[in-house]
Amino acid sequence: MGNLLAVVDFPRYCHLVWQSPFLNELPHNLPSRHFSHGHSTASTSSNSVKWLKRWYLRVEMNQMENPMQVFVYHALPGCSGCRICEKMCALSHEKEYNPAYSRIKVYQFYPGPIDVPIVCQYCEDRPCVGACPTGALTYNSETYQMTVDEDLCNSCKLCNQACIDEGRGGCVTFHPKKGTAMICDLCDGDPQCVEYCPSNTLHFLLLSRFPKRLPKPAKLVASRIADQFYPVKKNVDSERW
Amino acid sequence: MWIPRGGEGMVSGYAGKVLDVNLTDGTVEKTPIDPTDAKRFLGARGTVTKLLWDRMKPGTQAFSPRSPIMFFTGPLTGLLNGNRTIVRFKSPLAATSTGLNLMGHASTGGNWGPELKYAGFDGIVVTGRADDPVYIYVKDEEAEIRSAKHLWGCSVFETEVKLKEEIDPFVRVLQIGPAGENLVRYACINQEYFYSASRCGGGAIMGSKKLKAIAVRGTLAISVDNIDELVALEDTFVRMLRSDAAYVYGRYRWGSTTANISSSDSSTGPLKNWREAYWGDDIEKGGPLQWESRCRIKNRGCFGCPTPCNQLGIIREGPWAGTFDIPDYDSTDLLHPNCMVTDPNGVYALSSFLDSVGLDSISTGNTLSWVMECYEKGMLTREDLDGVELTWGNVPAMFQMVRKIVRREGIGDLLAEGIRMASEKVGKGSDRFAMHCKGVEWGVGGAGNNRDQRETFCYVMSDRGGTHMYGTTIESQNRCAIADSLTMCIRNVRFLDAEVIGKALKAATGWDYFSNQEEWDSLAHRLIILERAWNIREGLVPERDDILPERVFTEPLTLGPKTGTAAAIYDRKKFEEDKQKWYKARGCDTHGIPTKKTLRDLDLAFAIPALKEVVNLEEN
Repeated sequence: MGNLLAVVDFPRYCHLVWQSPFLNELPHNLPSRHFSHGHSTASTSSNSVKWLKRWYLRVEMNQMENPMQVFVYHALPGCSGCRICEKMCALSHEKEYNPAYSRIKVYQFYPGPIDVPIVCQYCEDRPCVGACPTGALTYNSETYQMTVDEDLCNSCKLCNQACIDEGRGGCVTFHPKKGTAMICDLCDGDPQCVEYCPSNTLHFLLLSRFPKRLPKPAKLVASRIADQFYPVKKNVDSERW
Repeated sequence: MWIPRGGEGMVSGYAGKVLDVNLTDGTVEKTPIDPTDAKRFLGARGTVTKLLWDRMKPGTQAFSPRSPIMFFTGPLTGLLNGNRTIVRFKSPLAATSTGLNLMGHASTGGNWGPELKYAGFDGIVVTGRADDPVYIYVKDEEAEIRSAKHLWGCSVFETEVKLKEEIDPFVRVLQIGPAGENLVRYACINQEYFYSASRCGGGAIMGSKKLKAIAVRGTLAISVDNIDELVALEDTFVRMLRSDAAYVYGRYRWGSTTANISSSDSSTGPLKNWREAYWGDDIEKGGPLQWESRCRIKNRGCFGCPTPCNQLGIIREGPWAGTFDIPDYDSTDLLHPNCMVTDPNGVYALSSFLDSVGLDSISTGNTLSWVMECYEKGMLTREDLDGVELTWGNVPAMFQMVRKIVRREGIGDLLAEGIRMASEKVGKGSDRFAMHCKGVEWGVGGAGNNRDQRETFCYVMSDRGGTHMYGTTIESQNRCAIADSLTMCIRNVRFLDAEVIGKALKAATGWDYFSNQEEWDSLAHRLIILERAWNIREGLVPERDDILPERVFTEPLTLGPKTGTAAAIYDRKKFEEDKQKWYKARGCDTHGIPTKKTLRDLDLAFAIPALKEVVNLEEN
């Protein structure tokens, strides 16, 4: 009976799922078994919700352009700010020892410090590709990779601007010497950042697990981390000595 | 003149040059590093000691404008696992019993050291004194001195945020707090809120130069000899550093504060100003489980560390709600059992507050506990303490006292000089329990300290006073010296062997460094003897100054498993024997002075003329 109800009422609640930015928020936003207002404590263990989620994801996967698209997922709030991901990214792609050559970037926010790694999330609409005036930045739907043609890239940084303008992370980085765009290419299926991440923060996952997921700007992610995990607010001590 | 990157004679693996900043006339120069020195002394700790020997005139006052403060990195910084920065200066705190200042050494992890190397410098040497507060901004082989009038008086936390807003969010900053500005002799140098180069009063030296901060941003790559070999070694390093699963798990989940409990259980921790060493169940009140259940949010790690161990958290209830902290074993151990504080939130809030004002929590904890004992015994009255009721475990009073120390008000002015000078002033036998060696208050060894004869012995032999990071045995002292020179974490380096480090250095620098333990030991021996020689040049008399506080010899432990055994007290005779054993193993004569033969064997013959002027050097 519960399952049936869930199917019937599904369209009423799906917008809640679409808005949820993180996986760990999914179950809480879904309705409980009895669809009672206010208290939905048993929702995570409810069979109907599990069923609903699976059904919903299957629908989403069918709608996806590339149902097997993978990406580097950032779990909250574990990033320890050690920047081993940056180091290994720069090493494996550019063979240089400096995080400035990396395609993943760890932002720091205070008080805290709260660390937020930002890397291309392989969103489906790809505003960066559309913004590229020279056609240097493309998406290869056979290998599921973003690619940058360094000869064509004129370092105009419009791709990154488009990413930021769409309210996303600004996930394109630029080579400090050449100035050309650099973007996560998933290391041909073996992301070094995920491989070396010591704090279980970065994961290599199917994008279809996170329907309609859009990357957020680092600052927004940091404020969400603060809301979720740092419940007590206190301003930076501004005592004058 | 400096050697350009990739030019002839350049040493790969090193950035190749040092930034010389003179704050008096505002000049900035780039000096090449000496490749022979780099090879002979390896890196950070070794090179910087040699530089201190060369550039500092004997007998310079610690707060003199001519006294340099040096921030240094090594050949593996920014590569592999090297991420620490070594800070060397003439310490205002460490001193002989006649009051001559000795070597100051502090080191910090975080992101600053690698960033400096990426900016194209192996180190920064700051001399002179600015008229108005300044900070130094280094970016990609360029450096400038900027006004820091708007930052002067700001806490460490505020400075960090303001500079990042002002310059660039990715800039890495070393800064001092109000304690350093007011020349508190144990002020520290902070970074990213909770990382600090804390011992020996480096912050006071920066404060005396009116240098508020050093901000660094680097986008240059380090040139190395064999990048493929290094990439392969990255994996080897990570595997070796994570090889001890239980250790890594404990360190990742609970951090270093587990040592509080283990040291108390083995009766080697501090308690009640080092009077006792065992606190039973009470020790858990400020321990890792409390932190995990009450406050912990996530880990923080230094640059490129595969086992991040700092536990970041936030106090959630009580008067200090909203305070962030990363409790470390030495800061919590000295604030918690040593001052008998039983409120965990109080310990964490104090530790965070000390970071925000830029005070060394080890020295401050020792100072407060010493005052508490003086107050208990009536050597200091309530009037002396300006009305502060500093009884055991009184956290609000401790806050008041720290504020006084930072502002140097009333009794705070005396306590800001460190317990060596304070106990001389107070008198009445208070120096019997002033727990310091050569002026620097005892840190917590983590694995054993009070009346644990190995660790206590480490405090005596250390060339920078009562530090816990000097090493307890000859082997561990060597290991610490190598770790400091490679700028690796001492907790990590123990999992590597000489062969792998040799390979890494070969890949980074192209030199055939040492590959077996004996050669590493002789290198470490060279660094340690040079440090000792420097101290002797500055007025150290080992016979007179290698001493311990009276408490160690006269007051046996009365609590815990060691009670009633021979280990409850350090026998004076045994201490003398241990000392002679150490002198002999280090190639020193019976007075603790390195012999001519030792100096020549270790390629330190340049030190002989300067030493001859102050002491008698024996031939063998």
